[in-house]
Amino acid sequence: MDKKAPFLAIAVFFLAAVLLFLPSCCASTQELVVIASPETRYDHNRQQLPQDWSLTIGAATETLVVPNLAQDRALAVPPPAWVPHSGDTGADGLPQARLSVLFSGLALPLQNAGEQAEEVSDRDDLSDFLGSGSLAKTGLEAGDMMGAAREEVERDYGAILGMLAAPATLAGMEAVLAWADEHGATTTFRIVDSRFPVTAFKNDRIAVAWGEFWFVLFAIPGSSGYSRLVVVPNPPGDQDFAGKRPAGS
Amino acid sequence: MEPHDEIVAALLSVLEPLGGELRLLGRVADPLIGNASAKESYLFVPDLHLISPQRRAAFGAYGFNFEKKKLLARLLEPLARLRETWDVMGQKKLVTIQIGDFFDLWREFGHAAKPEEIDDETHGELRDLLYRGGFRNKPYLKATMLLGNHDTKRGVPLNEIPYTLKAMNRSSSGQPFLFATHGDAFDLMETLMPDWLSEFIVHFLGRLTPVNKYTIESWGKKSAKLNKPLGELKDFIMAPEHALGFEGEGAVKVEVGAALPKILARRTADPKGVTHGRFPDFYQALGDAAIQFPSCRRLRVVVVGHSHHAAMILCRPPGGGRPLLLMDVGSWIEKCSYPLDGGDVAIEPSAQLGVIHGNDVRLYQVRMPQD
Repeated sequence: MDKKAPFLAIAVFFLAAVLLFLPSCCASTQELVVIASPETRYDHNRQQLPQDWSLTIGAATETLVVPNLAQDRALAVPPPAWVPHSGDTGADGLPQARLSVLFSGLALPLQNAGEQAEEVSDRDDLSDFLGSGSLAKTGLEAGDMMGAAREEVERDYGAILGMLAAPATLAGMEAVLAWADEHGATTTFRIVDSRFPVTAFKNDRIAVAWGEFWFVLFAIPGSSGYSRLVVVPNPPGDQDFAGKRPAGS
Repeated sequence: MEPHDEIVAALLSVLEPLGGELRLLGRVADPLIGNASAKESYLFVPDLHLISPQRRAAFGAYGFNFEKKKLLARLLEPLARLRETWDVMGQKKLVTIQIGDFFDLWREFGHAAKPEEIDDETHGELRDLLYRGGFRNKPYLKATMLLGNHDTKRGVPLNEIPYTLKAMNRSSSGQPFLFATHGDAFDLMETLMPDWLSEFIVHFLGRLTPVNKYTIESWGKKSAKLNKPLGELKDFIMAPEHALGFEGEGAVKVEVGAALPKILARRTADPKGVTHGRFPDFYQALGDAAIQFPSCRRLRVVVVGHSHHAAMILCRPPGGGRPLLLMDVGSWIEKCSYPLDGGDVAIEPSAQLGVIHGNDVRLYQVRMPQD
């Protein structure tokens, strides 16, 4: 028997262990981004009325009617325009689960002008959200007061707003990573999304940290490049999302 | 009915049955304000310094004025309903700004802050009315909540509150007339850096500072340097009785439709001659910012709190120089004294509110019968 064989076996074992361990090790060093409650995340132009849209579940297609965002309590009270569930209450007497407002994200590349002259562009509305700061929870509807003047937002976020408007950078993961590297921005692929089944965007999303926010880019399967944006505060608040474990673990 | 009168009517609908009234502490009704919009009415709620009942017991007589009567909440209730009515009609809008020092975490916690331990119902009616009622199916004011130096302890805030460091009105031209902040920025910045005035301008009003320099957490940590040690807070808070600098013939009673003096303010031609609330610094900062940044060129009104000393100060330099109005909205703690229009001097709990509509800026004192 070759005397080197045991050493080779050990070396192979260690190499395999390192290779197996490496991905989880590297993944754990990445920051975790949590797309949480609707009032904190920014996922639509708050100053344009969204369109109703359809959701297909199996063979059935159901139209979701978007509630009037001018009513602040839209989240707390199911608006009458929602399609009612076929049973008002369960056997325990509690109402059926309610759908909350669901948006598919701001369209990318970021638009500088609205379709109509009086419309607030996606870029201007996003700038307004960014100017309110990470603790100003105004993701559903613009606040009554401005948090910052336009110059301030351009100062702090002009670079990433430019990236979000550039089709070349949004073409794919490599381009976004190159941009982040050039600008010293942190990126991560660890994203927990409370809005959609996680598998819907598997491997097709990336988050870029800039200022007080994470900018999460989504690529829809079948389309080219990143086409949707959701913005969430960084840090997300006082919850330790990364430290959460299943009960009993 | 004019929006100012609608707001007065809402306040008096609560006060009059209780034997209370409104007095005018200050007013500037003049085109120099430069507010181009007649749609919005701005309501300013000053420093409240709320603490829990348990903690209040430890502080003896200290506290938020008229707490047992829940007077402020009762006053805000009809205004919250008015806001919703105006929103539905679409022609008018009520915008509320709480000027900071809403909760006093500095007094609430002896050592490390644990805001999550504050009971959900501690001053729950005010929390609902100002910023969280929308998630509880209640009428509310959807207030902009400014960060005060007592709203965090060592940088830790009550996380449910959506704080900002400053606020400006929305303007179709992109050039607001109104700038609001708690009022502690200069006090803090001058302890940290030699070029503090420039720092204020570039951070609060302009461009060229690095991103994320002053987060709520970092600002809160820095502002802790302004706060007195806990042991000194009790004496400090009990002693003051602010004599409000007052020009005119005394504070008149405010009623719906009543004729009020158009200018009731401390007037000056020299911004450096004003000692209240860092007025000279605000004047210089806004002037420098106006030269550098287009969005700052029409700022005419600064609204602050922090001092607990209500005031309305109008600076009009001679020769058409740039005017500036500072409204210090006062507080709902401590006492104040001021002359009444009949010649007497009122000495009573501070309970002030500020209101702006159009080019008419007003500062009210809420009066209640002495117990």
